[in-house]
Amino acid sequence: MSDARIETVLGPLLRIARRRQLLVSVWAHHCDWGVALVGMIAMVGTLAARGELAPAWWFVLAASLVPVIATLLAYRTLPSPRALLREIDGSLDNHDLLGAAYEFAAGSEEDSVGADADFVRSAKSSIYTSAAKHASEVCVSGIFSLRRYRLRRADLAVVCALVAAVLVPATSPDPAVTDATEAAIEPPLPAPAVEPRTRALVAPLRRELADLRVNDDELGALASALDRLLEAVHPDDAHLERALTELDALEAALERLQQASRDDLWIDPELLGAGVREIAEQLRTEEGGRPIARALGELDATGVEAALARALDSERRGGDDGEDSSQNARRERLLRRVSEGVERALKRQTKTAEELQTLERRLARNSSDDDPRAARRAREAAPSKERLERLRRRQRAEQRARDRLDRLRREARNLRRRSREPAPSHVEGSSGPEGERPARAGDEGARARPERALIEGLADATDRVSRSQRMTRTQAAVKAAGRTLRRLADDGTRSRSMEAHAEAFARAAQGERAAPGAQGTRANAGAPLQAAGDAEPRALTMSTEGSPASRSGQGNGAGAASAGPSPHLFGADEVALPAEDEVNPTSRSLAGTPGPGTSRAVTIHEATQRGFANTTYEDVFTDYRGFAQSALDDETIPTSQRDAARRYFRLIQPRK
Amino acid sequence: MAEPITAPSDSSLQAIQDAARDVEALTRELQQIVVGQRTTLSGIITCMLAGGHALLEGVPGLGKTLMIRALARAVQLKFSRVQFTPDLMPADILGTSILIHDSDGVRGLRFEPGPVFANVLLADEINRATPKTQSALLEAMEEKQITTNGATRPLPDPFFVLATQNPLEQEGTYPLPEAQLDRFFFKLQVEFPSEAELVEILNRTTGTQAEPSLARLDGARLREIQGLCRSLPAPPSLHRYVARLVRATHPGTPDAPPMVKKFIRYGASPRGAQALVMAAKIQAALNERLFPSVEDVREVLFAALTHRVARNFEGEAEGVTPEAILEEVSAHIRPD
Repeated sequence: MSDARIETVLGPLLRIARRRQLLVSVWAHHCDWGVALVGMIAMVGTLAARGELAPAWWFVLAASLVPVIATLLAYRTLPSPRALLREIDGSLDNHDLLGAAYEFAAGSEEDSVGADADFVRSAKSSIYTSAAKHASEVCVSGIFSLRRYRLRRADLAVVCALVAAVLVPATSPDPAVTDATEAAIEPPLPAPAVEPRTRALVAPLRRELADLRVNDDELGALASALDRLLEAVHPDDAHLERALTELDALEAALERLQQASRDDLWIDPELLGAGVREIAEQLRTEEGGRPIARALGELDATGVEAALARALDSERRGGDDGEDSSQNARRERLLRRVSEGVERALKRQTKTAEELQTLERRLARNSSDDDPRAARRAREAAPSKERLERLRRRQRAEQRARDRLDRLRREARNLRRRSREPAPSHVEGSSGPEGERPARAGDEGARARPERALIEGLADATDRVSRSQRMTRTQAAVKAAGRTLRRLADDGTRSRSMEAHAEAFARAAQGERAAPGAQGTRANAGAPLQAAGDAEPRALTMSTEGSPASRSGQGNGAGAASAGPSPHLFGADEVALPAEDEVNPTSRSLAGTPGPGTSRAVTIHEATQRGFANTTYEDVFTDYRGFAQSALDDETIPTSQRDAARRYFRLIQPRK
Repeated sequence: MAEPITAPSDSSLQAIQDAARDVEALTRELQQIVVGQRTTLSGIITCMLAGGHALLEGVPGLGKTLMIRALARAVQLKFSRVQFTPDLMPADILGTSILIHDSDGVRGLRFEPGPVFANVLLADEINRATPKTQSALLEAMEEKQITTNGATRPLPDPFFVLATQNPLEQEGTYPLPEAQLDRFFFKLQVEFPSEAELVEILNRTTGTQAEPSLARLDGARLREIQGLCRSLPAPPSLHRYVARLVRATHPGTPDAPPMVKKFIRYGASPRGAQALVMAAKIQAALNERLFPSVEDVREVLFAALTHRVARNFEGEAEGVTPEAILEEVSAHIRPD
């Protein structure tokens, strides 16, 4: 019944109004975002189609979906019939006649019962008649008018981009090249597990490790393990913690390796290395010694062994075959160069002996019995004794190195002497060619032994130097990796702390109170600083003192790369990471300036906490104002006195 | 199938139009005595048609008493006036029992009705009396009856209280209790007249112009118009709108705008909602319409609710007026 009444009175108008409203709403969506979206799709489609990245019909389909989406959105937000009629009534200024008629028509006739039922029915009937008359005269298009489209900046930008996309020349790839390229396209690599920034951070270190892990020994295995660790490093907490644990294990293994190498037979690699370098320098100027010098420069023990053996062998064969004195001269020069190199190295003086003597004298002076402060000095001398022990060990290692070099020199001299000796034409007890052959074989064996000793000695020295250098480089790499991982961890912590601080400041700006400990992981989540005492409210000043901020790297060396044989090892500092700030605020309780009256004061000792010093006065004011308000509400007080109380509190209210 | 619209019955519309004409004529008659103040007059007449009471607030000398006296004469109702003072007692308003001797010499108590027994009671400067005396009017205003010495006595019908108060002189005054404020249908501000109105006042009151005779409505016609106004049908959405509007004046409700939450101690009572709907119906009737609309409600919003919302200390200290808060509420609450 009610539906029929609505249909009679307002049905046509409602249908037209809904259709019109839908159209207006769809058009509004197009003006708001539809045009820009279609333009963007067209731009992307143009670029994609020209670059043959995607078929054009994809974008045509996407653009055609925009009106559909706009229509769906408009349909979802279409107002109810009552709201539509209220809008029409508002436009016609007829005091909601159509809306009231709709509501009365939708209602039940039983509403109008009682003494004035006839009057109500009559009134409603009049309302229906009047509403039907108005509804037939309503011009919906004048009420729900289409919004005029205005070109906005966003639309203009999209149009410009579209024009630019149209003007971009189309790429037409050579079919042959395309086929070849397509044939050569490899399957895509799996997505990297490590983020680009972290990968860039560890890349120099990994390049360094690539050189170190070529050797098939313990150091090579250790470098390989470190490289795998850096390859899989990820900047989240769990990964970094595990990586640091593994790194500690690698560091311990390296330490064990280093301790094992510095046994009682440890030969000082620096002095040995100096000898190797000097020999290489000497041989570089010699014609047959260049391959040996190159191998020595690269610290390639196998290469040294092979090159030296080849040089000595060829010289010997040359002497045998052609009886050429020039061959012997070259061999002589080669061995002389080796001897000179070794001698130059042996002439190098280290400061170890001098330091040792100085330290021994000092310790001897401090340990004299007649000194009353002997006990204290003995305690202070403990580190010096350790250093003394280290220096003695080093001196022994240097002596071994000198011995090794001296042996090389002797081998070289021995060979030179043998080379200068003329080859015996015959041996007693033998005659003819048959008798010469065993004698020559014996002579050959006598010359081969010092040759082999020289070759093996030089190769061994080279190997020791190489191993020592790789040990140092690996050690530096492990330390650099540790710094990088710790910096990544600190970076994450700092980032979270900054986010927490920013959030805390935002809340403080809104006047909220902080949850305890919500300001960051390193900040002190202390309780508010309390100060109480007899003080005038305005005379009481609260402050917080903290120790000056210290920069890391000044004391613990967290930010500096250690010197080593690999100057190109990158630390985290070289990728422009922010320096670490550490602030250690301390809380202090302060007594107020003595004065009349008692006041309370509460302040927060960090700016990131919510709440400031004037909150105190607000609280006190709020308390007393509440008491006064209660009295004003509950008691009979003349108006003048009320006004006086209100004026008083108005005058003393805290300033915003 | 569409239901045919029944032939228009003009009886209701005609009755409303007649009532509107009578009220308009009454207003015109009153305008012969009271210069200007059309809004205030319209508010007083609305109160009377709704069967409610009005509180007039204005500085002295603006013609408040004259306006009410003229209205009582125009509707041919019994009028009485009480000047409220701090020493006024409830019995001075309600009446008291006095000892009498009849002709036979028998002594007995007889109730002597007070000035409250009238159709129109002018309570002049009501805030000068103590709360005890002010509260003597509570039963009279709401129940239209009084109870003294254990006997309940009905008041004449119709019964209106038209009270005045001076906003300037606060020395020795007592603000009206909220319970009594709530019983006033409207609180009307009597504005200072414009220059032209002031000139007209001078012309009328300083010359020899004869006082016009006022007799436009009698009590029966007044009650008839009251019934007509009450009979107007109101759309359900209007009731919902008024309910939301009144609830939004309470700071504890979720629909309350921020201004209400900050500056209001408590909001309007259900009497406020009743007053809004009733006043909207009267507005519609006086404009010859058969139903009240949202615009009618907004028109009477300030008069009906300003005295029903109590500001907290912060609101008073900030100088936020109830009108500003109600404006915010009206803008915040939208009809269906």
